[in-house]
Amino acid sequence: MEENFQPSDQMEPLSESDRLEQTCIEGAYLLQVSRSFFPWKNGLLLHRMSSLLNEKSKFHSIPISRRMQNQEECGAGGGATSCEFEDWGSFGDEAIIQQKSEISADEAQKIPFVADKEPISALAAEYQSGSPILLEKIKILGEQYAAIRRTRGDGNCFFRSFMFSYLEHILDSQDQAEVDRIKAKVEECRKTLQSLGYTDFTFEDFFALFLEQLDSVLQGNESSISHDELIIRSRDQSISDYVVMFFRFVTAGEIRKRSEFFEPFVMGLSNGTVEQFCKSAVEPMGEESDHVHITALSDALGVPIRVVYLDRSSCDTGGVSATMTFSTQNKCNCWFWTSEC
Amino acid sequence: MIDFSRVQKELQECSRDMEASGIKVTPVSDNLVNLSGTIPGPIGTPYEGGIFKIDITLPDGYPFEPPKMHFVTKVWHPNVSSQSGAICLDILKDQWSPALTLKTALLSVQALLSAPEPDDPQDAVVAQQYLRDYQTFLGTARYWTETFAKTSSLGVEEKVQKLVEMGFPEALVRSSLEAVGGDENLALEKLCSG
Repeated sequence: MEENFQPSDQMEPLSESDRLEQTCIEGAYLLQVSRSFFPWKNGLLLHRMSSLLNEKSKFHSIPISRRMQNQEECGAGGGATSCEFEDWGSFGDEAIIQQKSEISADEAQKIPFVADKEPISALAAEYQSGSPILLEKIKILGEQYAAIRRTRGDGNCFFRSFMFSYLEHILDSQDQAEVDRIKAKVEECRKTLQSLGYTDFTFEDFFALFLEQLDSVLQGNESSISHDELIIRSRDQSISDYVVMFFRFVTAGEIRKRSEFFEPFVMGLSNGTVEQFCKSAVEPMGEESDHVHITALSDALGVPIRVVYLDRSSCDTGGVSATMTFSTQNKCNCWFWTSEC
Repeated sequence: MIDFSRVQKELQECSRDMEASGIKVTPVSDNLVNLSGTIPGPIGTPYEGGIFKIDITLPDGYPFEPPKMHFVTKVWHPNVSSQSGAICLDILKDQWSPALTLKTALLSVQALLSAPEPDDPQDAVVAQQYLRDYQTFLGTARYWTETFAKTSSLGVEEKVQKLVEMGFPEALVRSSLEAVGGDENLALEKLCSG
């Protein structure tokens, strides 16, 4: 997927001052080393590099994801009485759904939606026998980030990571101005959905729940919550999934509102129209996020996102780190691509 | 935990534009977990004129999990089990989203009646017939609509009896009725000309 991000005229490197202004969220995707053997993908999200702010100890971060690719097939079950593949008769929809929920339950035991903070060295230990390029990249990550948090690989890891990172950022910064700003953006998103013909009751609960979380991370009122409580809520499905769905609505609304801009990117990911893409790859829970989702969410809410890819690629000069920042500052509709290469 | 306030809003919305959409959803029990939906057969298809009843059960995770739907009315369609009424439709499975509603799901089922996908079948027998002998498929689908989805018209047994009383052999009456999609007059014509 990196190939989709070739720098073009539109893109320009971030200056150091830009980086410092972009307080918010940083993220990294870790692509599985050997996808042919392991058909899943790992994702990591990292918080902003602490050393830039000289507060390394405060920095934390991240989510990892791991998810089986969709392998289920429709049909071949049910009323298939004279099917050529009789053995398939036992794999009806019910069986497939049950197997999927077993996989999810299995995964849920391994890792909560948002896990505890771990040092970067834990990541290095995991890849100890892996590619030296990966280890080198993890070392670079270690210079920039103090810790990671893993997120459950249920296909919602990007949105879940964004939720936690953003709310944690507000909790830490108590930035009232930022809260006011994003609330205005959320209202815009609500209008966007209405103008696109979404029925109010399909999205209003999700909007309300997100705004509630936003208020509760600001201290000094009755509903204020602590950092521990934020973690508990992020792991509580009845809250966490609602916020994830809120972001999915916002993302779908942004993509459809600016469908002309997103169309060529969507065409690279699927065969259908922008609307079909939103219906099949954005709105359903558990659908993984790609650069289109990330760009749209970042644009819709006006929150910069940095994605760091941890893969085995390297460049001629020996550099091994690549960062992509999705930003709505300065110019809209473009992302910045920076690399050590 | 089902979001019942949302379910109530959905029911209100459905009843509000029932005239326009023809889609109806009503609760079967007090608890709003079991619902019953009906969709009119799409015009220009062998299902035209039929009213199809669909049983709806809301799972605990609704609206995060899809509603469970199956046809109560028997229907001859590649993506619906002719035995159980089970429906093969992506939005009722992994493509479900809380952005969808019972009404939009039923509209999708209605659209599926208009546009069968025999390559991704629920009922292999029907799908095979659809692909290999489309005319027979049309006849059977019409016959099933006539027989099972039209409550106001005479039951098929009554038609058979009427024609048998006219002196035609029962087996021939049944095959003729099936061939013309259950229409009594067309069957009579066919029997006379045959």
